[in-house]
Amino acid sequence: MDLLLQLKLPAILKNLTQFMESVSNCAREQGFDPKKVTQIELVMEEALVNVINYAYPDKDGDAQVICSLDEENRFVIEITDWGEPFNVLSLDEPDITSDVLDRKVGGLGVFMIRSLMDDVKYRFEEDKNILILFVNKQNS
Amino acid sequence: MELTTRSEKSAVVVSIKGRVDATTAPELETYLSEQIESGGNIVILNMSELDYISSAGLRVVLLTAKKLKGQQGDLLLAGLQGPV
Repeated sequence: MDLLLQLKLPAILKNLTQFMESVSNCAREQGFDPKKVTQIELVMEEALVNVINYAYPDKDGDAQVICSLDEENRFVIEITDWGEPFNVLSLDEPDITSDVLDRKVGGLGVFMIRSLMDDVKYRFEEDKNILILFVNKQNS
Repeated sequence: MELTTRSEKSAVVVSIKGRVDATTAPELETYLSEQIESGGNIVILNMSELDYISSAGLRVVLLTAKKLKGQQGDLLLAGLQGPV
Protein backbone atom coordinates (compact mmCIF):
# COMPACT_ATOMS: atom_id res chain seq x y z
CA MET A 1 0.00 0.00 0.00
CA ASP A 2 1.33 3.43 -1.01
CA LEU A 3 0.10 6.09 1.43
CA LEU A 4 -0.69 9.34 -0.39
CA LEU A 5 -2.63 11.41 2.14
CA GLN A 6 -3.70 11.21 5.77
CA LEU A 7 -5.86 13.99 7.18
CA LYS A 8 -7.75 14.06 10.47
CA LEU A 9 -9.86 17.05 11.42
CA PRO A 10 -12.93 17.81 13.53
CA ALA A 11 -16.05 16.59 11.71
CA ILE A 12 -17.59 20.03 11.14
CA LEU A 13 -18.90 21.69 7.98
CA LYS A 14 -16.15 24.31 8.10
CA ASN A 15 -13.56 21.58 7.41
CA LEU A 16 -15.41 20.03 4.46
CA THR A 17 -13.63 22.18 1.87
CA GLN A 18 -10.19 21.28 3.22
CA PHE A 19 -10.98 17.56 3.17
CA MET A 20 -12.34 17.76 -0.37
CA GLU A 21 -9.52 19.88 -1.78
CA SER A 22 -6.87 17.60 -0.26
CA VAL A 23 -8.42 14.53 -1.84
CA SER A 24 -9.02 16.14 -5.23
CA ASN A 25 -5.42 17.40 -5.36
CA CYS A 26 -4.30 13.87 -4.55
CA ALA A 27 -6.54 12.44 -7.29
CA ARG A 28 -5.22 14.95 -9.84
CA GLU A 29 -1.64 14.01 -8.95
CA GLN A 30 -2.56 10.40 -9.68
CA GLY A 31 -3.49 11.41 -13.22
CA PHE A 32 -7.28 11.23 -13.07
CA ASP A 33 -9.05 13.43 -15.62
CA PRO A 34 -11.23 16.40 -14.49
CA LYS A 35 -14.49 14.44 -14.87
CA LYS A 36 -13.22 11.63 -12.63
CA VAL A 37 -11.82 14.12 -10.10
CA THR A 38 -15.27 15.74 -9.91
CA GLN A 39 -16.88 12.35 -9.34
CA ILE A 40 -14.42 11.65 -6.55
CA GLU A 41 -15.21 15.08 -5.03
CA LEU A 42 -18.94 14.37 -5.15
CA VAL A 43 -18.57 11.06 -3.35
CA MET A 44 -16.16 12.55 -0.78
CA GLU A 45 -18.66 15.30 -0.03
CA GLU A 46 -21.51 12.85 0.42
CA ALA A 47 -19.55 10.55 2.71
CA LEU A 48 -18.13 13.40 4.81
CA VAL A 49 -21.43 15.26 5.12
CA ASN A 50 -22.96 12.05 6.48
CA VAL A 51 -20.22 11.96 9.13
CA ILE A 52 -20.57 15.68 9.90
CA ASN A 53 -24.34 15.50 10.24
CA TYR A 54 -24.90 12.11 11.84
CA ALA A 55 -21.81 10.51 13.40
CA TYR A 56 -21.69 12.55 16.59
CA PRO A 57 -25.20 13.53 17.70
CA ASP A 58 -24.26 14.30 21.31
CA LYS A 59 -20.63 15.27 21.22
CA ASP A 60 -17.84 16.53 18.97
CA GLY A 61 -15.67 14.16 17.02
CA ASP A 62 -13.19 13.83 14.20
CA ALA A 63 -13.20 12.53 10.67
CA GLN A 64 -10.14 11.01 9.05
CA VAL A 65 -9.40 10.59 5.37
CA ILE A 66 -6.62 8.36 4.06
CA CYS A 67 -5.76 8.09 0.37
CA SER A 68 -3.54 5.34 -0.92
CA LEU A 69 -2.82 2.99 -3.81
CA ASP A 70 -3.50 -0.69 -3.18
CA GLU A 71 -1.71 -3.77 -4.50
CA GLU A 72 -3.90 -3.62 -7.64
CA ASN A 73 -2.91 0.04 -8.19
CA ARG A 74 -6.44 1.24 -7.38
CA PHE A 75 -6.87 4.68 -5.79
CA VAL A 76 -8.35 3.94 -2.39
CA ILE A 77 -10.03 6.48 -0.11
CA GLU A 78 -10.80 5.49 3.49
CA ILE A 79 -13.15 7.69 5.47
CA THR A 80 -13.16 6.97 9.20
CA ASP A 81 -15.20 8.28 12.09
CA TRP A 82 -15.41 7.31 15.74
CA GLY A 83 -19.14 7.87 16.06
CA GLU A 84 -22.27 5.76 16.28
CA PRO A 85 -21.93 2.46 14.38
CA PHE A 86 -23.65 3.09 11.07
CA ASN A 87 -23.34 1.51 7.65
CA VAL A 88 -24.26 4.19 5.15
CA LEU A 89 -24.44 1.54 2.41
CA SER A 90 -27.40 -0.10 4.10
CA LEU A 91 -29.67 2.84 3.23
CA ASP A 92 -32.30 2.35 0.50
CA GLU A 93 -31.71 3.98 -2.84
CA PRO A 94 -34.10 6.70 -3.87
CA ASP A 95 -36.50 6.37 -6.81
CA ILE A 96 -34.89 8.69 -9.32
CA THR A 97 -37.57 8.27 -11.96
CA SER A 98 -40.66 9.52 -10.17
CA ASP A 99 -42.33 12.86 -10.80
CA VAL A 100 -41.09 15.93 -8.92
CA LEU A 101 -44.16 16.13 -6.74
CA ASP A 102 -43.84 12.44 -5.73
CA ARG A 103 -40.08 12.43 -5.14
CA LYS A 104 -38.93 12.09 -1.59
CA VAL A 105 -36.13 14.43 -0.55
CA GLY A 106 -32.92 12.69 0.48
CA GLY A 107 -30.90 9.59 -0.27
CA LEU A 108 -29.12 10.90 -3.35
CA GLY A 109 -25.78 10.98 -1.56
CA VAL A 110 -25.75 7.20 -1.07
CA PHE A 111 -26.87 6.70 -4.68
CA MET A 112 -23.94 8.79 -5.87
CA ILE A 113 -21.45 6.88 -3.72
CA ARG A 114 -22.59 3.54 -5.12
CA SER A 115 -22.89 4.57 -8.75
CA LEU A 116 -19.76 6.70 -9.15
CA MET A 117 -17.19 4.48 -7.45
CA ASP A 118 -15.81 1.23 -8.87
CA ASP A 119 -16.22 -0.50 -5.52
CA VAL A 120 -17.34 0.48 -2.04
CA LYS A 121 -16.88 -1.39 1.24
CA TYR A 122 -17.77 -0.69 4.84
CA ARG A 123 -16.60 -2.18 8.10
CA PHE A 124 -16.93 -1.36 11.78
CA GLU A 125 -13.68 -2.11 13.60
CA GLU A 126 -12.30 -1.08 17.01
CA ASP A 127 -15.04 1.57 17.54
CA LYS A 128 -14.50 3.03 14.07
CA ASN A 129 -16.84 3.30 11.09
CA ILE A 130 -14.65 2.83 8.02
CA LEU A 131 -16.01 3.51 4.54
CA ILE A 132 -13.63 2.51 1.75
CA LEU A 133 -13.98 3.80 -1.79
CA PHE A 134 -12.10 2.26 -4.73
CA VAL A 135 -11.34 4.04 -8.00
CA ASN A 136 -9.69 2.13 -10.83
CA LYS A 137 -6.88 3.98 -12.53
CA GLN A 138 -7.79 5.29 -15.97
CA ASN A 139 -5.87 4.10 -19.02
CA SER A 140 -3.62 6.86 -20.27
CA MET B 1 -20.72 30.92 -5.41
CA GLU B 2 -22.34 34.00 -6.97
CA LEU B 3 -26.06 34.40 -7.46
CA THR B 4 -27.68 37.02 -9.69
CA THR B 5 -31.25 37.55 -10.78
CA ARG B 6 -32.98 39.25 -13.66
CA SER B 7 -36.60 39.34 -14.79
CA GLU B 8 -37.44 38.04 -18.21
CA LYS B 9 -41.11 38.59 -19.20
CA SER B 10 -43.05 36.58 -16.61
CA ALA B 11 -40.08 34.58 -15.37
CA VAL B 12 -37.27 35.15 -12.92
CA VAL B 13 -33.86 34.01 -14.18
CA VAL B 14 -31.45 33.10 -11.39
CA SER B 15 -27.87 32.61 -12.55
CA ILE B 16 -25.62 30.44 -10.42
CA LYS B 17 -21.89 30.88 -10.87
CA GLY B 18 -19.37 28.60 -9.17
CA ARG B 19 -20.03 25.64 -6.88
CA VAL B 20 -23.08 24.47 -4.97
CA ASP B 21 -22.01 22.08 -2.22
CA ALA B 22 -22.97 21.46 1.40
CA THR B 23 -21.33 24.73 2.46
CA THR B 24 -23.07 26.95 -0.14
CA ALA B 25 -26.40 25.15 -0.61
CA PRO B 26 -28.08 26.89 2.39
CA GLU B 27 -27.36 30.29 0.82
CA LEU B 28 -28.89 29.13 -2.48
CA GLU B 29 -31.96 27.85 -0.66
CA THR B 30 -32.48 31.17 1.13
CA TYR B 31 -31.93 33.14 -2.08
CA LEU B 32 -34.43 31.07 -4.09
CA SER B 33 -37.01 31.31 -1.27
CA GLU B 34 -36.65 35.08 -1.36
CA GLN B 35 -37.19 35.16 -5.12
CA ILE B 36 -40.35 33.09 -4.76
CA GLU B 37 -41.60 35.26 -1.88
CA SER B 38 -41.05 38.35 -4.04
CA GLY B 39 -43.57 36.92 -6.46
CA GLY B 40 -41.51 34.71 -8.78
CA ASN B 41 -43.65 31.81 -9.93
CA ILE B 42 -41.68 30.71 -12.96
CA VAL B 43 -38.02 30.39 -12.05
CA ILE B 44 -35.33 29.57 -14.57
CA LEU B 45 -32.02 28.42 -13.13
CA ASN B 46 -29.22 29.48 -15.46
CA MET B 47 -26.52 26.91 -14.79
CA SER B 48 -24.16 27.78 -17.63
CA GLU B 49 -21.50 28.92 -15.15
CA LEU B 50 -22.16 26.23 -12.56
CA ASP B 51 -19.01 24.14 -12.12
CA TYR B 52 -20.19 21.62 -9.54
CA ILE B 53 -23.37 20.61 -7.73
CA SER B 54 -23.61 17.93 -5.08
CA SER B 55 -26.64 16.23 -3.55
CA ALA B 56 -26.93 19.15 -1.12
CA GLY B 57 -27.52 21.42 -4.11
CA LEU B 58 -29.82 18.93 -5.84
CA ARG B 59 -31.88 18.82 -2.66
CA VAL B 60 -32.38 22.60 -2.89
CA VAL B 61 -33.33 22.31 -6.59
CA LEU B 62 -35.86 19.58 -5.81
CA LEU B 63 -37.36 21.47 -2.85
CA THR B 64 -37.67 24.61 -4.98
CA ALA B 65 -39.30 22.66 -7.83
CA LYS B 66 -41.80 21.12 -5.39
CA LYS B 67 -42.60 24.53 -3.89
CA LEU B 68 -43.20 26.13 -7.30
CA LYS B 69 -45.19 23.25 -8.77
CA GLY B 70 -47.29 23.26 -5.63
CA GLN B 71 -48.35 26.83 -6.42
CA GLN B 72 -48.93 26.18 -10.15
CA GLY B 73 -45.55 27.57 -11.03
CA ASP B 74 -42.51 25.86 -12.48
CA LEU B 75 -38.76 25.51 -12.23
CA LEU B 76 -36.70 25.21 -15.38
CA LEU B 77 -33.04 24.35 -15.68
CA ALA B 78 -31.00 25.98 -18.43
CA GLY B 79 -27.42 25.93 -19.64
CA LEU B 80 -26.41 22.64 -18.05
CA GLN B 81 -22.76 21.97 -18.72
CA GLY B 82 -21.11 18.56 -19.22
CA PRO B 83 -19.86 17.70 -15.71
CA VAL B 84 -23.07 18.99 -14.10
